[in-house]
Amino acid sequence: MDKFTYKTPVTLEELVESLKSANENTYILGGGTDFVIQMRKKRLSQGVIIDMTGIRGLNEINMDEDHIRLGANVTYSQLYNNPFIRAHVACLAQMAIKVGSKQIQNMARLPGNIVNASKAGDSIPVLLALDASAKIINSKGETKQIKVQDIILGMGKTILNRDEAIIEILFPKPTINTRSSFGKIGHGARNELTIANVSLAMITEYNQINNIIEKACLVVGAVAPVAFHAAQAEVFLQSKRPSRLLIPQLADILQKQVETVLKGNVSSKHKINDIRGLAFDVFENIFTDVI
Amino acid sequence: MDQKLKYIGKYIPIHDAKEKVSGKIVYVGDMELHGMLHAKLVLSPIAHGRIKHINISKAEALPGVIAVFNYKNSPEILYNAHKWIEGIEVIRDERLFTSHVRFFGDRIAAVVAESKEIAEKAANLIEVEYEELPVILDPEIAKKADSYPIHPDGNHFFSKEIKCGNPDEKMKEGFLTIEDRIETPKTHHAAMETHACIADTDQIGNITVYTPCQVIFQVQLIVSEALKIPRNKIRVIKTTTGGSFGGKGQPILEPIAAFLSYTLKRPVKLVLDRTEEIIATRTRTKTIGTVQTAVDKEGNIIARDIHMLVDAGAYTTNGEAIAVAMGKKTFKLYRIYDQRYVAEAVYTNTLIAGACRGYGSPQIHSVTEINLDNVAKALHMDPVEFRLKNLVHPYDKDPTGGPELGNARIIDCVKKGRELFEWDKKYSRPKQAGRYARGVGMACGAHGNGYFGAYPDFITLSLRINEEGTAVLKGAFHDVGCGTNMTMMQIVAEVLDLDVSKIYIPATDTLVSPFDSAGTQASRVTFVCGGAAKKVAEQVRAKLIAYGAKVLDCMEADVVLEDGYVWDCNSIDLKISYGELAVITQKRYSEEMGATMTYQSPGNPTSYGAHFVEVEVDTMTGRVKILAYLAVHDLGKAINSGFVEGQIQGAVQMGIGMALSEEITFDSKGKVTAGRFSRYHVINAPDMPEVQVELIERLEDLGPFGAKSIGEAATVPTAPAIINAINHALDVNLTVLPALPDRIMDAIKSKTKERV
Ligand SMILES: Cc1cc2nc3c(=O)[nH]c(=O)nc-3n(C[C@H](O)[C@H](O)[C@H](O)COP(=O)(O)OP(=O)(O)OC[C@H]3O[C@@H](n4cnc5c(N)ncnc54)[C@H](O)[C@@H]3O)c2cc1C
Repeated sequence: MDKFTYKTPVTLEELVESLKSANENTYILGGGTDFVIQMRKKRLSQGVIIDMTGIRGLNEINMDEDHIRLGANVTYSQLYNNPFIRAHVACLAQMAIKVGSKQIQNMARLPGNIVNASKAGDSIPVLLALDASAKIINSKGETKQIKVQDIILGMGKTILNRDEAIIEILFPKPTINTRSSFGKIGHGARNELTIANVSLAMITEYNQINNIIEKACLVVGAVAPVAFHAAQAEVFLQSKRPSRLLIPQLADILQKQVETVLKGNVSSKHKINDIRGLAFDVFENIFTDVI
Repeated sequence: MDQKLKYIGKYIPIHDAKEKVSGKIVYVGDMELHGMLHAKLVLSPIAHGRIKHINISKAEALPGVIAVFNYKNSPEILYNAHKWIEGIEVIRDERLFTSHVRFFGDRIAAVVAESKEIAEKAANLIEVEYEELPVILDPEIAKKADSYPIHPDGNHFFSKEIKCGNPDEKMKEGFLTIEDRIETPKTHHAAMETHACIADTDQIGNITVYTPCQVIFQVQLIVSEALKIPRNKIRVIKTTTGGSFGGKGQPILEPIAAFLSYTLKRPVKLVLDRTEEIIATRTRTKTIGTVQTAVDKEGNIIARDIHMLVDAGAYTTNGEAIAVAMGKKTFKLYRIYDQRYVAEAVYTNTLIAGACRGYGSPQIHSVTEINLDNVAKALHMDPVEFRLKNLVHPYDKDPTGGPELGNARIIDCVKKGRELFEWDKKYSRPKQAGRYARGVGMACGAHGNGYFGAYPDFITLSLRINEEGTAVLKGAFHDVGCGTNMTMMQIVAEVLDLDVSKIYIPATDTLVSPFDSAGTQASRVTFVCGGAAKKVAEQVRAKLIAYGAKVLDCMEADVVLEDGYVWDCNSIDLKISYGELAVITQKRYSEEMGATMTYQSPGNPTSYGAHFVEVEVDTMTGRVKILAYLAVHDLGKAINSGFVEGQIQGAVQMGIGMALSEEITFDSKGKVTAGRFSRYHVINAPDMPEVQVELIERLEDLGPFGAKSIGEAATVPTAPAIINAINHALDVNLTVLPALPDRIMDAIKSKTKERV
């Protein structure tokens, strides 16, 4: 009979031990919100499952000198319930509260979203905008730190080997000038509980004294196989004063970029409308007090 | 009816509420029979073609596989699952497994195995080679005489005209004539429980079918026809049903499971997953309607001409019946004495259509009610004012000679709605500039109460008060989750003056339930079956009084029945329970405290509703938010207020889907591109507006305690009300449902172009 072996490491040492025998039938399990569906779709009926969720210490949100560190087991619910994240990394909190439903938010975690590497993964544009990295451990107990940008190779493809697991996500600490926001518009006509049709993460360094956007970072999700920086929009916003007049111009630039990426794919033409709406939503959200 | 009602009108939870919320209830999918096998269907991956070659050897070789069936080793008998009673003419074009596939999802084979997993694995090992045939997806192309025939007699299989007066002449006299062409989508019922069924066969070849169905006797009939087995050898037991909405009306899996079990002489379970449920059961019928309405200067409708093109999908099923049903509604809502309705039905290589909540009413009303708003707009009249001028009045006659409308209270609905919704204020509010546009819309709807005037409509019931003073009501009731059983229990409780908890309704089973002509269909249950429950209860009540008088030795007029006890009003001290009376009656008079009777539906009045909605449209992305929703319904009398409210809220949820988000889509080759809930978007909780419900309870003369239908009627006005609201918000004319973001953006863009 087919069967699974289910491993439940509680320490990193045990995780490393579990990874030692990893092969193509070894699966790492986070919240399971993608994995269980994959299991059914691919009719997986045997192998080894390594359950990450019992590993001690990986469910914490910590901060050191330069970085915010999110343990691999931090759920979306934890992210948006964390006052610091809500206040200073708004894009991450806003993203987390838009993932699926409450039930999903209570179970699902960031590493799963990265490794699943869906075009529509909500955390991906946010993590790219944050310039986040993942700390990866392998079966020899070695760790390395790699930018999320470099982990995802394409839809459903990452550089991770079978004997590697993400144990932490980290990104540079926000400054007092950092402001950010995330928005998504889903497939179909529903407003809530949707799979992203287009998403947009925006992070700015805004100097309130000079009233100048010193730096802007915009990442568009769900349009191309992998989320991408909207480079022209980033250049456009640099050194600008935030104002309502900027928004239509910013929206035009983003629309043009999305249009270029879509290369005339008519079935996706509503993404061009949607990115315009998102440009307004996200910009207004960040600068509501100064425009 | 003046006396105080004890049970009617109250909210009493559905009879199996506790078992459902505690997870104890057993659905057919939970059932396990000894030695049970599992079946998996193999569905066509192309929309049109003939099987050139089918190779089942790999599937058969898989350990645990018992048998594989396809067109080569299954009955060739053609049937039409829509047929629910002997004596109605139908086109027979469906068979268990086909060699000529006509849509993406057509059944070509079934694998039976020791486990579900093995059956699924084996199903994937079946190799089929097809000769592909031309695919027709567009009903307007199918209608053309030279379109590639999907069935031997061509694609255009039905037309029908219903007419009153002289519409052609009158149309010319119009001060204004407005024409619209409106498309409504194919949609999925989305019941929580997918289709599922178990069939079991005994040593002598008697088949028992366990199924969450809407009509046990229809299942018996179709299994019997498809397998050529006498009806008496087929027993159908209805199981707890997790929603239906018309989707479980036609027996789809039952003849298959019965065949598999009958052939293998073992119990066989067949459960569909969601994708199979979407593509291989039934859908709401897609329609393309054109309507022309002529009015005079004052806004009186003087003539109307309606043409409906009905897309039945790949097989006939109820294509004819629904085409006619839609037409009948158009003569029952407004006073239009010169009107023509023409319907034509065609096959396409798309999913099979069938009954879906409203049975064509939501479609036909989408066409006519959107058009009427455009007429009002052209007249510069408030759409509410315009409708009030033209709506039917109580006891109006149907101008085509159809069943009378009864106590038709649509005008009351509209007036009440206008007031509660603050329509006048909201409708005339100046439009605000900016990204978000707000608007209001309303629409009216009409729906029937059973089959009277069209098909046999009767039910036999048996009610008995037993020795312990509880009552058993036997009848073929099909509670699909909306509270049919409790509704009947409340009616019986009220008549007998016996607590509802003392009334019991046994399982619905062809072997023991008396015959019912039509099951849960046609919005007939409360009106017809409820009417029957009331009548049989009245007969038992008369017996309680008659024997009560004898036993108590008093006048019948002095007998009091209250809360399960009977006494002589002149001697209150001697109270005997209904149970004791039943025992004495049996002993002394050799008579039981029960009655059995057949009840014929006395009529087919119309149920009405008016919905009012306020929307906000994001003009950048084309997304719509519903800000306020009011549903006002003329249902005569609510038997159970909580059920009624629940029905209306659920109906609005379905209607919003039809208006905004639900559509089964196909690629150019006819492959379904919306075969799962991540691509087929039903409106779920966060997007659901608060639905305010208001009831007009003016009592229908022919209904039990004045009641008439609501469950289907409630989803009729929703989609057109929403489209009218969007059209009002944006000053556009949307003509294709659902109003997806793209379609809204296109409408906005073409409007701006017009202006330039
Ligand atoms: C109803 C529903 C709604 C959803 N809505 C959204 C949505 O709105 N937005 C969105 O982006 N996603 C959504 N998802 C998808 C899913 O919830 C997310 O992708 C989630 O982040 C996955 O995380 P998880 O912890 O559940 O991963 P799992 O399912 O446990 O794992 C996913 C994949 O990642 C691998 N993996 C998991 N953890 C690690 C690790 N630590 N190291 C290495 N590999 C690992 C697994 O082996 C697997 O291949 C939804 C899913 C469902 C079922």
